[in-house]
Amino acid sequence: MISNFPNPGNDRAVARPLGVGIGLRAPHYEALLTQGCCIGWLEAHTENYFGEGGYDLYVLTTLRERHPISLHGVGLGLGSAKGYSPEHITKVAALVNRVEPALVSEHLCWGARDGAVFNELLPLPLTRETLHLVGERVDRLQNVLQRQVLIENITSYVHFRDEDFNEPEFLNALAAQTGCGILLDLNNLYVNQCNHGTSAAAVIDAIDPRHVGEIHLAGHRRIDGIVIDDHGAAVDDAVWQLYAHALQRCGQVPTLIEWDNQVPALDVLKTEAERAQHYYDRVDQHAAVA
Amino acid sequence: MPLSLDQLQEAFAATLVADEVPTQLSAALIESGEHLTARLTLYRRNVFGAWRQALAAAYPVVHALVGPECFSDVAHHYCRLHPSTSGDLNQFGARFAEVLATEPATATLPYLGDVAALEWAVHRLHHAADTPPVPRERIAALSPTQLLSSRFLLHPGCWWMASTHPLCSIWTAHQPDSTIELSSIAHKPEFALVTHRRWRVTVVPITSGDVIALDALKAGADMDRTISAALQGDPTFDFAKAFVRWLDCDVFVGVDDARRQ
Repeated sequence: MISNFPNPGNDRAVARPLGVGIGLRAPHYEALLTQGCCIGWLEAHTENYFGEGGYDLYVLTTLRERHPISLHGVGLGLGSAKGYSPEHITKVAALVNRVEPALVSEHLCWGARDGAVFNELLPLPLTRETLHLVGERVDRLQNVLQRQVLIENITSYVHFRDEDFNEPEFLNALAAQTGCGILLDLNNLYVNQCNHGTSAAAVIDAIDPRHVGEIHLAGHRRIDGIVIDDHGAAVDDAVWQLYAHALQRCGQVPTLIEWDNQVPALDVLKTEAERAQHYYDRVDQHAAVA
Repeated sequence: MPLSLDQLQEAFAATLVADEVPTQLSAALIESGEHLTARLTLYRRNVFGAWRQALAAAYPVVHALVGPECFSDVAHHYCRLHPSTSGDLNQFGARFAEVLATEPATATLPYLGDVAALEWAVHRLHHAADTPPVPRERIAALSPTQLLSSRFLLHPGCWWMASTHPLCSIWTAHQPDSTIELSSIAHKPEFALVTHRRWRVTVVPITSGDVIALDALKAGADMDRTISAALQGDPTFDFAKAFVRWLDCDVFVGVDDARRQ
């Protein structure tokens, strides 16, 4: 069994798969509200909509009538040994109830310590201890939300000596143990390959394709010899190649164009989404999953 | 013996807030030397960058008034004094006004603290509950006697301030559609009301009488006592004008006529 929880976006039997979506960002609110546009779905950063009301929430609840929504959390810090916040989960649950999203996701990271929150996706050592902790947290989150969540691989600028798993082993084990899905960020894999030499294609090959419920595509930049996933540029050619490879293995997985910094005009994102859709449409869904 | 996850995160957290690298942390990581220093610096920059960006988003007028470099310095100081305590960055920066008021770098701009207090009220109201205003018909149906004996419930996100500086003019001059030149603003006290209407947050100039009246309404006074208090503190207080101003800003979310209880 892949999951005990329903997840419309991850259900391959759904007649109309989600296809390609884009991130919901404030500079595009007006354009999205006024244009009846052909975007497959929208992914919102969960924490940006934690308010009790206001314009952001109005936009999100209006757009959810027209587009499937994915709620992508950046602030839970599933792997924080001390400083994990139950109030944060309560807020996520309230928003999930309100928006009824197609997908819900978070990151494989930590981010807080004894009440101090770093608001950054910090790397975890991939040990049995970490798997146990994150496994429990994912279990609890899925129980509260009564649905499957997807867990995303992050970029890491440092690496731990003593680990029990490599990244795909860890993600496969987490998914098998909790029934969560995997949000495979191909740009993050590529950035890790540039910075640390871990082959992105090898990671894709080692991930169990049955668990992959979403793919992220984004841009990056190089500063002082380090590649940074700043989500501030078009998707790199190398990442498009990884995308074609991932689709071959995983089939038609909902795919997101992520652009968070120096956000361009909506048309630029649409062009990126069309390019992704082109790759997506070429995949023989049934052949790939089998 | 490898460190526990708890010990590793304790060491990692220490390196994020200080420029030193605990030896347990460097021993646990593959990277070393300059390479490790560069990577940890990148994390520190990311953490501080996200905090500074959150402050700049909540305080755009302060940012414009002091410029990016000074803002970055003050933000750095603020982050050390009051680090983030929530995974929701919209909650970060609540005490910025307090810190600005005591910051030597911004001592030449004495109005910054008030501007920051106003901007935090604007920021909070952007995410406040969309409680609908009392329908106009409900208020129009009140007889003058009923109006005076009624208590009006204010929108919980409403905020007002008596400033010794031209607070509204400074804020307004920095809005995208403003025609006010900063240099043309006279140095005089101003009174500001922050409220919202259909999700759009606005800053409205009010009078000192309004401030007294709104304080009284918030404390639960009926309208009769509210007007008396305002007139006592500000003999020029014009209730009819003030009441229309409040209604136009959707300030009231509830009304109860005490005599009906």
